[in-house]
Amino acid sequence: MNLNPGTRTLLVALTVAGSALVAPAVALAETPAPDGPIGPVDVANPIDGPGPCDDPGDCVTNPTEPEPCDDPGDCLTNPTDDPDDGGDGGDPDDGTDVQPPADVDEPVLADPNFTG
Amino acid sequence: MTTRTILRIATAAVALTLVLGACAGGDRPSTAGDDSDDAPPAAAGSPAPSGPAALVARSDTDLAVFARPGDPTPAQTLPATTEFGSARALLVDAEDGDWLRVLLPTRPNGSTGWVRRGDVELRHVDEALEVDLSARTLRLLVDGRVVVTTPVAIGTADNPTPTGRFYVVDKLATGDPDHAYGPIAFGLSGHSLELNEFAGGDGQIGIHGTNDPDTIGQAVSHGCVRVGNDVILQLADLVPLGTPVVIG
Repeated sequence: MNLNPGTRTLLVALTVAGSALVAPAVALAETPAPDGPIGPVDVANPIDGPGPCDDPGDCVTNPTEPEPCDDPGDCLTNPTDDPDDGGDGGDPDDGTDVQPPADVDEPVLADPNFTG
Repeated sequence: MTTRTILRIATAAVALTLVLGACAGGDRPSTAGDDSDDAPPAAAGSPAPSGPAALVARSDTDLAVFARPGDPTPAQTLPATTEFGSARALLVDAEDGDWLRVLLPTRPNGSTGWVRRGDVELRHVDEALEVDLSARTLRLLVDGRVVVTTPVAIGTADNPTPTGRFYVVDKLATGDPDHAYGPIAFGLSGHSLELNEFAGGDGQIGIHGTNDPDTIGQAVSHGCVRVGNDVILQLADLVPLGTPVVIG
């Protein structure tokens, strides 16, 4: 194939650029999905995803990092924000109508006369 | 091949690369706001969609029962305990403001009445008992999950076990594992449709153990449901008063 030098240079540049994009794409495709959401999910609901990490970089590369952050500014979330400190209170459908569970009653000593 | 053609091919290759990258990104963790596709699948044994847990109204004092919400005078008053001494627990059937409709442990089966919400303590019960008369089995469900399945003896053709929605009214210990009812007997809110009197009682049906385990699986009782003594002991540890019992 006869190509002029400009076209050849452009083709080589595009091929290199394409390869550079394919490699990370394939790497991502082969990376198993983590069990829970990471990264920005932690911003909305820190208790849903894996624990925040010590290293902000780990938030992207190591989503399974279980250790809590030493620094509240770490990552994208604030690990010192206790999800139970008066947040949304859980399922909004719980409302105030939720009753405590019934205790399992102890049997009463008696002589039954049911229709045995 | 012209230069223009080559450029088109190269552009298409780059576009394809970008598309591949985007597809690979589909396996990446979701971000807030697009987690709908990442909702975990329902786990095996998930609660059946049978609605919320049952509500039980309990009272440790005599309880006024009204025919209708807002009635000025009660239609009857239930003692604080049953005739056997069990605490008073009534299965709630419906709610209307400050009033609760409850299933009454009286004839006819399925009778209801209204109690004032302020007169009772409400508790939820996650347990439920189901008796399948055709299969002659009993199941205990907790949060919709079956935790006990066992064969049972049921009523005869002449004295059939009544069907319907009942609940546990009494939990009695006989004090004798060799008792005809075994070590434990649950009294239910239902009554025999054939027997108005039995052994000095009013034909109340029950679920209990037995001193004749060979009868389990047969239609031999006067309406009660018999289970093995090991099973009734297990149930006694799990079932609170007011637990719904569906017989069908």
